[in-house]
Amino acid sequence: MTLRRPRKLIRATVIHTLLIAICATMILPFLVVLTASLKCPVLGDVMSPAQPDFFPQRFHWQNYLLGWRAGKLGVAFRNSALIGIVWTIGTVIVSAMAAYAIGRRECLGHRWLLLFFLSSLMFAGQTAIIPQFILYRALGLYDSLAIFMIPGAGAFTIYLLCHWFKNVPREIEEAAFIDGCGEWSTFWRIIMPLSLPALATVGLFAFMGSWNNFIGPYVFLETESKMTVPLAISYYMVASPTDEAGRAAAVMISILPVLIVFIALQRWFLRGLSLGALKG
Amino acid sequence: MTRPVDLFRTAAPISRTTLLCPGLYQHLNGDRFTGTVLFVLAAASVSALIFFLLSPSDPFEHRTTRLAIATIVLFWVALLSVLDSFQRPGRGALYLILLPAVILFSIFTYLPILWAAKLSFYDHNIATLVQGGAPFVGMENFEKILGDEKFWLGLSNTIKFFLIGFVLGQFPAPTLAYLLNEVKSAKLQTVYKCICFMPSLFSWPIIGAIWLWLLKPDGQFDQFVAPILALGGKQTIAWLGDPAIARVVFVCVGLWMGTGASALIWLASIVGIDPALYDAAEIDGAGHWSKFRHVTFPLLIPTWIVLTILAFIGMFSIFDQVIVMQNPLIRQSVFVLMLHIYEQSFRHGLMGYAAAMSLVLALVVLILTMVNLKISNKIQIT
Repeated sequence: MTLRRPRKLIRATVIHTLLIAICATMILPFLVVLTASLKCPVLGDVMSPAQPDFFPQRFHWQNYLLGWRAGKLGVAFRNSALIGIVWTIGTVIVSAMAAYAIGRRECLGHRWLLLFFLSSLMFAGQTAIIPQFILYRALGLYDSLAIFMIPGAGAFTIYLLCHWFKNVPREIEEAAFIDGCGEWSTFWRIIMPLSLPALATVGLFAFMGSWNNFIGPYVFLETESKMTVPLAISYYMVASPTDEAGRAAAVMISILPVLIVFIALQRWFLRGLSLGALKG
Repeated sequence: MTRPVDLFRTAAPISRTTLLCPGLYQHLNGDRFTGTVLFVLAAASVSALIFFLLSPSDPFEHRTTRLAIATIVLFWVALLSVLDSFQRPGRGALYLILLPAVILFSIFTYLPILWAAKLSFYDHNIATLVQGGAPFVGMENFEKILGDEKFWLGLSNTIKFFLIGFVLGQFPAPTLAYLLNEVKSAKLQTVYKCICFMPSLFSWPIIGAIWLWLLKPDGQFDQFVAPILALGGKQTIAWLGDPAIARVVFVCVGLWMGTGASALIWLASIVGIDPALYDAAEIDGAGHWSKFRHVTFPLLIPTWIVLTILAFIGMFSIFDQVIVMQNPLIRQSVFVLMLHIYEQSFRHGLMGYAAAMSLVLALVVLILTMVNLKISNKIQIT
């Protein structure tokens, strides 16, 4: 026993040291941008040896105002939030409906239907981007935010919800049928409320997917007033080579809300990833 | 109580061959009628689609688009109402619940893929997209691909990206998962998990901007690694200016972003292993190594396969990162196929040619995924 103790201690120390080192590599890049965003914009490029100190001498909060204005982040945030909320709600409801019919009620051909949805994962999504461009043009949706609000039934969402719905106790549903509930009201009143945790997780990931979608807006949106956050950031980065401080501030502004949401909802994020692992 | 559904539920498990032909499954399980109806419907819809794809009218006019969408909707409504008639009464609503997802998916996911096939036989450009009347050129677009040096450069770069990512990506995520699993305190583990997962929360423009700053000549990263480089007798490395290492740098930034997320997936499957299996192995006299070799390792292979396939598909459609992080100095070595497709279609307006290329890319991905699955099935059996 006495021999084992120090060994365990050494082991724990090594593991924690390694983990702290890894965490430092994850955090440091963000910290560098955070401090850079507060440096003096006039003294020279905030990202170069002109201002070598890690910490700024004085906090220049006006960078944030500059970044917000020059990056046109106000409009971008509004658009991204609008798209994200509408799309997420639509997608989660539509996917849950399909998952209910396929996974829970096992309608005729449920295996085929699941295969129908899952096969889309075999195609790299971006290869269809040209025909999509043409489809949206033909529907008169090109350069409109509506493209990103059309609920798409996510293959992965349906798959995860199918798994979840299978584990809801059968008795509840049978009791509902005896009480005269139809399929729709059973789904809406019984299954959906019981599945809120799964729906929240899936919805969170759907929202993140929409929020971080870059290639779609990059290809399908032209007008400046319709930009989303990733698009606004990427344009701002190439547009003004001089005001690094404002750009760093703009990046920080777009990071912060996501970070706050993540810290508030970290349980759901981590749960979502272990749900994803069920697949394996 | 036997319901008609039970006929299907107790039937033989679905096999891959029965999927080749709609209705075959029902036929084999004794339900001739459903099988025949399904087959006829599927055959009719396929021939309608072929007719639609080969028809002389331009499919990209508004009228034709609406026709196509109407066809899809009608097809699914018909199919689902037929299915409905074989169900216990009262289950009809089930198919209405199913309908929106199926229709949206057909229109916005599968229809574009089918159209890419048609588009690739036409010499489409921006003008013909608006006015219609693109000339049919047969296989010309595909012939053009054979002689297009940029296509082959793009393809080889894409494959190199995947290979580099595959080699470098094997080690970090499982190691991180192992380390996280060793942390005993749940709170501390959550903190570590959150921090490791954090970079994958952000989109490529943000991640790209951060690393472009860090990797600048004389930037923060250079100052940080200067002592290490000095040991090797080197002054500085142009991280984003040297074509020889640009791909590795890109992959490393991608790994920095994604390792945390995949480590958490690894961790979930490590935790998910039934402890009883280890106990059983211990009773049989297994040591550390043979427990790993015979319990942990085989049970983690499915996770490895899924993550590899996902990484594979991700690497073949790598685009965001390149758009954000490329510069003229390293363009040749990070010029991926998606970038070529994007430039040909949206910069030069060669829609037909770009569609042909994207079709080839999709086929390559499809075939390689199949090969991947085949190989990994073999690994699983042994």
